[in-house]
Formats: sequence, C-alpha cells, structure tokens
Amino acid sequence: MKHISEIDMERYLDGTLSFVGRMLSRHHLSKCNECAAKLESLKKDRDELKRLSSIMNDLDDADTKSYNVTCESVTQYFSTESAEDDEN
Amino acid sequence: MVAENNVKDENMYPKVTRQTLLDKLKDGDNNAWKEFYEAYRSLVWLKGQDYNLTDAEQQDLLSEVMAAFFTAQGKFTYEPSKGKFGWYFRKVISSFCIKIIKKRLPLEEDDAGQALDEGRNKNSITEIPDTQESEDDEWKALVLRQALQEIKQTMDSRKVQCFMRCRLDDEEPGKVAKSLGISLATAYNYCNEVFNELKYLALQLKRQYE
Repeated sequence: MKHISEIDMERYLDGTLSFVGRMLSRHHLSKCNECAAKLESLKKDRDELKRLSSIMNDLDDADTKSYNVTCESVTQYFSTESAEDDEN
Repeated sequence: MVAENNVKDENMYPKVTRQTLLDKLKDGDNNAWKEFYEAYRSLVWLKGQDYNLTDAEQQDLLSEVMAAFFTAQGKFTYEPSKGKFGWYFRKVISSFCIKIIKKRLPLEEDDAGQALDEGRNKNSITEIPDTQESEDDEWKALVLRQALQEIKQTMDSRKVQCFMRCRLDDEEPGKVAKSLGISLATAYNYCNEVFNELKYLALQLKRQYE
C-alpha cells in the first residue's frame, strides 16, 4: 500500500490537493492507521504553532512596550558594570 | 511541538559546540547579561501584564528579576540545584509580581471597618491569577521565538519567508509560491524544511534550559 507523502498530507490539511487527490487521500486515511496517526500529529503540530505564534506576537509587543518604558534602575545597573569594564 | 517525535537524526548533522547563554553567563561573559536582558524582558513584561501591574510596577519587576540573577558585580547567580532554569525563572517572576502587588497601599476603611473605595478591590492580593498553563505556553513561545530568530540568520531567507507567510501568517500557499516565483511543490518543501529545522532548534534550546 502506497502511503501518503508528507507534502501531500500538508496539502490535504491546506485543502490544496486536487479533487481526486483529496478523495484518494481520504480513502487511504480511512484504511491506514499509520498515515492517519501522522496526519493527526501534523495537525497537532500546526495547531500548536499557531497558538504559540499568537503568544510570540504578544512577546514582540511586550518587547516594544518594555523598550519604550524607561527602566532607569535596570539600565543604570548594567551601565555601572559596563563602566567598570571600560576602566579595566 | 517541541516533542521529540519527527525530529531529524542528530547524527546526520555535524555536532557543533555551541556555548549556551547560561554557559556564557557562568563564564562571566560581560555581553551575555545584555543578551539575557534582551532575551527575557518581554517574558517578564508579559507576566507583569497577567498580574495587571502598572508601567511603574513593571519597571520595578524588571529590576527585581534582573537583580535576582545578577550580583552587584554583574556575576550570574543561578545555581542548577535550584531546579530547571525555565521553571525557576518563571517562579522568580511570579514571586516578585506577588511581592509588588502586596506593596500596594491597603484599603482605607471607615469607622465601621468597611472599605471606602470598592474600586481598589481589583488591586487586592486575592486576585492573583492562576497562570500555570499560560506560563508553560509563554515559555514555549519564548523558546520558539529564539529558535526562529536563529533560523532567520542561518537559513535561506526565501525559505524562511515562505514558511512564515504560509504557516505563521496563514497566507494561501499558492499565492505565496506565486509571489516568490516558485512552484507550489517547492513552497511546500521549503515550509517543511524550515519547520523541521525549527522543531529541532527549539528542542535543542529547550534541553539547554533543563
């Protein structure tokens, strides 16, 4: 039995397979536990990536906000260390 | 996604000794603390938001957390005996958030002992959010972001662009392929290649913090 390629699995999830390709894949998935498990794993990975991607955007926003807020004590703390290095 | 399944065989790639940020900090690399600050301030800020800290309190939080990991001489003070770094770091942030909330002025009371301003109740220490699940996701996202930043520097920019547009920005693969002047099959190959590399790097980074 010829298994579904990784690329075709991606295309199946994206809905970019041809009509025939989609039907054949669906038929194969109903009979092949291995491919069904791989597809499930791929879907899980993608869903997690999307979820984490949204949090990455929050981290980017937090980067901007924390950069804009003057953090005198922190920058002063690190500046002291930098000045000591220059002296050495 | 940082699970160990479907990760490329490490033996296929030459082992490169890569000094981790924690190693550089322990070795007293003076630039490493700047890298540490830049890498983690967004996570500290995000946690502060979860606790509804004001901007001024956020400043305190950043200072306190950084001071918890560095001595006045700029020496890194984390000891592995305290636990996994990622876990310990998050605990430090949470404990300082709670400490900052507790510093807020107590509610004023009238003669009968009733709170005069109910609006200040929202700042009460009883409203500490349950953040465990979000902490794990935020840490994973931070690690993923670091892996992505590394990939942007090491992999072909067109491949990375293809992946980011298809998988992060949710653009249609066909449109992305057309705009990049590549076939649809090539676009999928690019996405796969970058995604596998991303998972591999994220796993490496995750292991560094354990």
